[in-house]
Amino acid sequence: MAEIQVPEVVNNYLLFCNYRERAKSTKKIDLSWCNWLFPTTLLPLGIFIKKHKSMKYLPPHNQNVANYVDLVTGKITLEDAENKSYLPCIYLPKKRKEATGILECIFRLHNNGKEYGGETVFKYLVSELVDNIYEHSEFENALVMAQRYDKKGFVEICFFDDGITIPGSFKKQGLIFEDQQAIMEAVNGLSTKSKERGFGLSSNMTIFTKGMDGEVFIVSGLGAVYVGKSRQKVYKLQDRHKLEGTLISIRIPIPAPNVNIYDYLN
Amino acid sequence: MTTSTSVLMKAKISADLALRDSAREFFEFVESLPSEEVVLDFKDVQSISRSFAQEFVDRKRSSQKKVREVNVPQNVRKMFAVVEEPREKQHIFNTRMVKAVSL
Repeated sequence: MAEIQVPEVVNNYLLFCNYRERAKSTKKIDLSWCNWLFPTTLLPLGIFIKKHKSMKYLPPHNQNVANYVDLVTGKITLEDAENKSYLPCIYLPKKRKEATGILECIFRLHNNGKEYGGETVFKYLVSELVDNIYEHSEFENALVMAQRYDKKGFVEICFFDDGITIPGSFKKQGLIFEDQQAIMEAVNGLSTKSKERGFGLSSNMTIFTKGMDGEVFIVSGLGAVYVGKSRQKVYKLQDRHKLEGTLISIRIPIPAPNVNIYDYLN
Repeated sequence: MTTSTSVLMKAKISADLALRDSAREFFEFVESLPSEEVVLDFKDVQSISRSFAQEFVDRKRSSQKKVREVNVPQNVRKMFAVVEEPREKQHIFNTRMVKAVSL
């Protein structure tokens, strides 16, 4: 069977699926030889580790990578992490009232996005995607993480929640789609609430891909979509690649161009 | 006599007006104020999301109070204009044409 060529960010998600499959069959989560993790792999993997404490966990030999995983599983707290050279992932509080303070913290930790396309665009993007999580996902765990890779020339920003998924959210409102179809509908701006809503994800996709030459990968349930500047891919996932929740992974080239978001808002 | 209360948005919510729920909660507070007029001071507000702006505009429209904004930064003003006159949504996917790849 011909191997399917997928963008790197999609491969990074599949890497998480491989670790998860191996853990399910061996009853141990073995990351001992893991030397590198992008947030796209790390966030769902960290939550998987957190939720499967009965499985034996073999941490990476590489201490930096082990610390990285500890950030997500909660062994290192935000207070600890702020004093370290790497940027932490941040858990969104379940209580919405506490979310505003956490957003301020995310902005501050990332220098208000001044290196990620400017303050206005960074705050807009993070605010809209976090708001979507609160409005639709009904999560137990939700995380935000941004990591800059100067040598590779991009920043990766990830949002992960283990909630009811995008197709699950539509289903609750009586809209039944195949999972990949549901994601496309959400990206196109379909809202279960009113026609004035549903702009958040669609405007973000446009800003990231057209305004910033970036790429966006969204996986939710058994569906996934990838949008780059000049190509789109839609994936129908097999069970072993299913995600219980929603992962939005964004890559923006750095230095990112300063973007006027109002050029892209409907 | 008309009574008026002034509210500093930055102090009451944040310099970054981000979440739809914050706008909902804020207007519950506004409705609970005894005065007929509420002046919302946007001094030092840094950013506003579309979700917040949409909820703000919707709640303001249905508010029992006379709500007035002052010191509104240009970016916030622009976002209010965007949500008050929304254009058609741009479809990123042509859902009828796209074929999903099995993965």
